[in-house]
Amino acid sequence: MATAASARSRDFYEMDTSVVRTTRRSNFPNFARHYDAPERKWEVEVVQALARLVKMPAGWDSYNAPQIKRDAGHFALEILQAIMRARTPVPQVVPSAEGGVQLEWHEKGIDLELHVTAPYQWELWFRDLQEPNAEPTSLELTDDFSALKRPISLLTTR
Amino acid sequence: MPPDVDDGSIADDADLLRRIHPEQVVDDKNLGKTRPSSAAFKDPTMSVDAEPILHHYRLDWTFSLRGHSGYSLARFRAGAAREKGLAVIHKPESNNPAHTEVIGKKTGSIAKHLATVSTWAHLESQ
Repeated sequence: MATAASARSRDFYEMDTSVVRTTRRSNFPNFARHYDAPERKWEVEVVQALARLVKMPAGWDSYNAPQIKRDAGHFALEILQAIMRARTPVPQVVPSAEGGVQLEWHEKGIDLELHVTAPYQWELWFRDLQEPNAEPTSLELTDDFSALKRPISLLTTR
Repeated sequence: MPPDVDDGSIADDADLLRRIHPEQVVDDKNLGKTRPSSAAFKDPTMSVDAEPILHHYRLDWTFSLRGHSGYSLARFRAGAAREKGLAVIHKPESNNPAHTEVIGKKTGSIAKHLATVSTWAHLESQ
C-alpha cells in the first residue's frame, strides 16, 4: 500500500515543493494543520536533489554517462521512506556514471553507500570505522531492506 | 574486433586522471575532507587520461579539464585499478593521445577503493 509520503513524492520530478506547500496551506489552513504535516527535512532535501539530477542531460559527467533514471530515483526514495528515522542524518545524493543514484553517509564513523541502478536493483556497501578489523559489507540487493537495519541504527543513535 | 587486452603499456605507477562532476564531490566527515564519490568510478569502461602520456606530449593535467569548467579532477594509480582485477588499456583518440580506459565491472567495494585512493589533481571550489 502506498504511504502518504510516497504518494506525496510520486511526481517529485515536476514538483516545486515550496509552491505546493504554500498553496495548500493558504487554501486549506485547517486541513494543512491536521493532515498535511510538513514534509520531513530529509524528504525535502532528497527530493530536491533528485529533481536536480534527473534534469541533467546524457553525458553530464563529461564522458558518456546516460541520463539519471527516474525509476532509480523513485526507488532510492522508497528505500529512504522505509528506513529513515527522525534523527537519521540526511544522505548525500550523488549521480552515478551508470545512470543510477547513490545515497551516501560518511559520518559518525559510519561509511554507508546505497547504489540504486533500477527498481529492486541496488547495492549496499557498509563499514563501521569503529570496528577496523571487520570486513566491509558489500551486498547486491532487491526487495529486502533488512541489511540496512544495523547501519541506519548506528547512524541514528551514535 | 579483438578483445581488449591490458598489455601493461601503462605502468602500475602511472597516474590516471578522471574528471569529477560537482555533484560527485562528497563531504566525508569521517575523513574531514571532500573527496570524489565512488559513484564517479562505476562505469564499466571508464575513461581516464594517463598523466605520463600527457607529459610525453608536453601537456599536464590542465589538458584534461580543457572545455570542462566546473569539474574537478581526481588522480589515482593504474596499479590501484589492476590490484582490483581491472584492465588499464591505452586507447588514444584523435584529440586526446592520453585517453585510456579502465575496464571491468566496478562493484561497490572496487569503486569505493578507487574513490578512497584518489587524490585531487584539481578541486573546483564549491
